[in-house]
Amino acid sequence: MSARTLLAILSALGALALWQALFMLNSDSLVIAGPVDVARWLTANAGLVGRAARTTVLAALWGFVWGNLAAILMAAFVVVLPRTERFMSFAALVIFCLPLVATGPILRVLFGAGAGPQITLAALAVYFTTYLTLVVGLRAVPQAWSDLARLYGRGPLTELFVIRARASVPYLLAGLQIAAPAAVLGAMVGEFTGAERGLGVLTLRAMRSLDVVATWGIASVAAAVSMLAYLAIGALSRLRGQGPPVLILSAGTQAARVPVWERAAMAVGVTIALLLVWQIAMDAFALSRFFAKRPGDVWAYLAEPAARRTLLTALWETLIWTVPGYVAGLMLGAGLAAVVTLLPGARALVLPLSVTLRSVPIITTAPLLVLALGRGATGTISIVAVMIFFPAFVACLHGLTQTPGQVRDVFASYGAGRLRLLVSAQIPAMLPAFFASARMAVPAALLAVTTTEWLATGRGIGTLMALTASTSDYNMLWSAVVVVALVAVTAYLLVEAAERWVLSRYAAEQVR
Amino acid sequence: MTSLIPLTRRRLLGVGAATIGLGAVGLRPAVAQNAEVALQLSWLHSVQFAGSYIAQQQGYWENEGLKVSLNTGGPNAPVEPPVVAGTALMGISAADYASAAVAQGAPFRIVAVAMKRNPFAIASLPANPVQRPADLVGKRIGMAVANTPVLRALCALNDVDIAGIEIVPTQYDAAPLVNGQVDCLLCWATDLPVAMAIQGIDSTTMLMADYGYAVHSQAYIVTEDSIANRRAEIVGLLRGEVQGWEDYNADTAAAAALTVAMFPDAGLDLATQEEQARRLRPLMFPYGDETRFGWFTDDSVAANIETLALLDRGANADLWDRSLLEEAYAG
Amino acid sequence: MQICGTARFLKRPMQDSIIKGRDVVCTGLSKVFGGRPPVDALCPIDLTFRAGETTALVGPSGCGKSTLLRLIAGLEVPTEGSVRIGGETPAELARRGGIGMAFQDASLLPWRSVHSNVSLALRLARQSGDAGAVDRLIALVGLDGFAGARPAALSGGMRQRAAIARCLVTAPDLVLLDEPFGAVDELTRARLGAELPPLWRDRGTTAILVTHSVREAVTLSDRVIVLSRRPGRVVADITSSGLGAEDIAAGVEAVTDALLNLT
Repeated sequence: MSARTLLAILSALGALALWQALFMLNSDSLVIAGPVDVARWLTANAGLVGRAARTTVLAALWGFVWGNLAAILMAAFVVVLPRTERFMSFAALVIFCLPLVATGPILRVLFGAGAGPQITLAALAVYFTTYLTLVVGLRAVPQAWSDLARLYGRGPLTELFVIRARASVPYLLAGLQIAAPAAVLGAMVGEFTGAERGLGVLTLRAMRSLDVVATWGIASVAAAVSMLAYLAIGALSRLRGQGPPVLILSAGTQAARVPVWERAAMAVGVTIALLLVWQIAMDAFALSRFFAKRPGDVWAYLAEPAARRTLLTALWETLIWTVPGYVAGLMLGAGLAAVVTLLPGARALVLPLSVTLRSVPIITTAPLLVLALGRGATGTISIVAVMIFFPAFVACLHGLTQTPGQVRDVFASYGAGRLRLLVSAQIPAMLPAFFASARMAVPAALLAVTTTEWLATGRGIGTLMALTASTSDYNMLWSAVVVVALVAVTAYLLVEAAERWVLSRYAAEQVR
Repeated sequence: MTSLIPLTRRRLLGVGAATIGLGAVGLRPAVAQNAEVALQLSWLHSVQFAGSYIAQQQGYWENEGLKVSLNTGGPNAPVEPPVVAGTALMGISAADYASAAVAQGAPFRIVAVAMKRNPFAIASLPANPVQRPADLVGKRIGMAVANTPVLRALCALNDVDIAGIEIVPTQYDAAPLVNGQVDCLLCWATDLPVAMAIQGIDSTTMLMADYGYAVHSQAYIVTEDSIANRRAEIVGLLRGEVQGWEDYNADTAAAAALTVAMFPDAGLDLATQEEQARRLRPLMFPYGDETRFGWFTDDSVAANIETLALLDRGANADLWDRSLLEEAYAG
Repeated sequence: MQICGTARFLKRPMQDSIIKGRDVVCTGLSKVFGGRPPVDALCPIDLTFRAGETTALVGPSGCGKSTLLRLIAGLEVPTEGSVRIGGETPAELARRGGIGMAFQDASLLPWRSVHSNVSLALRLARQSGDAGAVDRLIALVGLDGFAGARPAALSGGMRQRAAIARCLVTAPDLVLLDEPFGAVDELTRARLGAELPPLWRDRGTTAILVTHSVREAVTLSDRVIVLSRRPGRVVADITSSGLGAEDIAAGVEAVTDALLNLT
């Protein structure tokens, strides 16, 4: 048995011990169940949980397939026609940010009974990260390789199929790895739109009936499934003899060279196009205006000051805790990566733990964390941080290990310690990866906070949207959707601007 | 009035394809072509909808020439959109939800009411009980902030100063009460108290309907358009429901057993379902002339309009339409 | 004529009959890279590379040698001016597989074997090529027995051999070599320099070689063109064909002088 395996097993045992200890400290709180009880419950209900897991995993799998297929097509399209990238990326971001509370009921009406919404929500949950990762992968090809196709007078399509497609496989695998837990979560949330069976259904049931052991049991199964998928894809990429690639997603793209007025025109164009898609899609499916509002309805609704006030108050409630959670999550990820770099032994211990944390679906963690930490700032900030720290951690870890050997040698030759090396050489080398994860974390943070508000804290814009179920105030729901999408795009652009500013000082070669 | 075959648990559980015909004896002749309709439930499968399951299993709808699919609800599955969109012919909503939807332009009518008495209750622990509205003063109540109008209405109906109650926002969960973070909970009498009972925790429940809170719950809604164009199907659907729920009224334990047997994957616990079925019954079949399933009187409609006004929901008697239920009973 | 050493082997006089290469005519060719600030990579250049000859391009780093090569290959679009290869544009010639190119870092696709890398060029050029052609060329560059090997399993010199095989497999009219032996050690470089150029010279293919090594430029080519610092322009045009040993030394000196005079 290799030292690596041994450490992983120790880490797993450590996690279990930590779990049991937490349980014993809080045994009367009805928040936490111990691993022993959970194991007993799982054994007793193996058939039920097995059937539920099969249903959910099947939906997640189909969503995974469709979502990633869409991501692959979109990425290929963008690489062949680079001018469409800005549009495609924004459309992808906006659609990714559509709150589940809003999309769920519409999908249910469109699909009727069955697994349609579960599959669609799982697909929606995975396509964005795969798309971003794959665009980078398809681009990150040495020029001499891409010249090869053009040397024989072949166009971008040949270049894509013969050279870029195969060269981007490691990136695709990295994207799929991130996508796997997201697909499971998407399928579970999809079950909230009305499903007969599945892990999401069981979770709801367990939480409503105060069955803490069952809640933790189902969460463990969902986490285990996510982790298995994560590890299997990781093993696949190692099998190919290629380690995971560094997700150095360089800032912007050609955007930097585009004059300001053209970028503004682009933004207006994207907005108009998305509004058109919205209007046309709803008309095409002949969705009732009662719940499927059109852009014009939202515009008219937001003209009322009272509606605007309600919406902005809720938005403010949401943002004051999302932003600290977002920053805390990124810092936690980067900090943990730095610690792991300083103490190399910690890696095998920290990595499995953080994969576990990330794999437990938010619909079970959110209510539990809120119960444990309260509905105030601490609870919400912690949930957002937990949801986004993992991608930041992994990306930063890759970035930190990217420092070229010669640079290390130079530092070593001056007798500089690990800390010196970290601060002066490795952190600057890590910045591009850090910012890439910071951009990806924007929609993840919004998803985390709206879901938490919806299921647990009962405040902010997430709750405002959920209330639609009792008030039928679909104007408010759609206005909230628009506002959330706007916030997402604005935040994304701000992070991108910060990225350019920092990288132009510390890693100029990344800003093309 | 339809004659109903007495129902035993054994028969209910033994229902299979062969016995569907048995339920049909003496009832209206089966129609060759079954029309497909959907009933949108308001929550996950549970004994809360057991009457529908019985109707399904006993073939009551088949006798009406209907092939009914029961669409599950859930936390992200509002009832009103599928009914408006026509994917479901009928939905299970409530007077407050339906009146809000009507205010937003949905052409709904309530055609029957399953829970004539609203299930909202205040649950507390026996050591520190809330037995009447006045007891709420000085207490910490755990509830969703969104339900504040409900509490305000209860206070208004009983001359209690809401300022004397400390509202603690909580999830829909009994844990805060059990852990002592709050003194009482605003919840349904049929879920969180049952969950606590199953966990061996005694609780006191004060049903708000006993203190003037009149809001029809689990009310059947259809669109005006459906009433005009698919009247026969709605009446058939209601007739099956009535028969199913009468069976339920006769033996709630059998209904609970059927529910658990029909949905083995829903994670239902028989003891919980039996207890829930027992507690649901008086809400659906209170004494007096409202004993018939689904029936609602003009007085109760008037009371509803009054309570809805306290909830800032304007509604008038047009929201209710009893004529289809009358047809169902007359048939 | 006194011929000796590698030069004898390389500078075998060509027979007109086997010249299949074409003239490469650059007219008023310039390239400005847009950006902030824009970079003038190449001054307007008028230059003809004669059919069947191997011409070496030398000059200081960043003088635009590679840009010129890429313009001729059709990989870059000129800001002004034009390139004609036997009267055709680079794009027209490229579509028939008429241009072969080798790069400094071999640029083999790591997931393909040597054989598959070489045959890829045939596929890209839409040439069927007979089944044995790829194997013969692999043997010709001295890689028998390595056809199935992945690039990662080869030495730097072997990878360059494979790259040359890929460059020649379409039987191009024009061969463009961008520092093809730049990444290998001195000994290997000398061996490759002796063994590979005959493969295209013997066919009478026009070749353009970009190199940093003045000696390599003089020994491997018929003509050496010295480019100035950026933006590149022609500062010297030296014939190096049919030189004897002492003439090579003189040629190296002439080219070196031209380079030194740039500063």
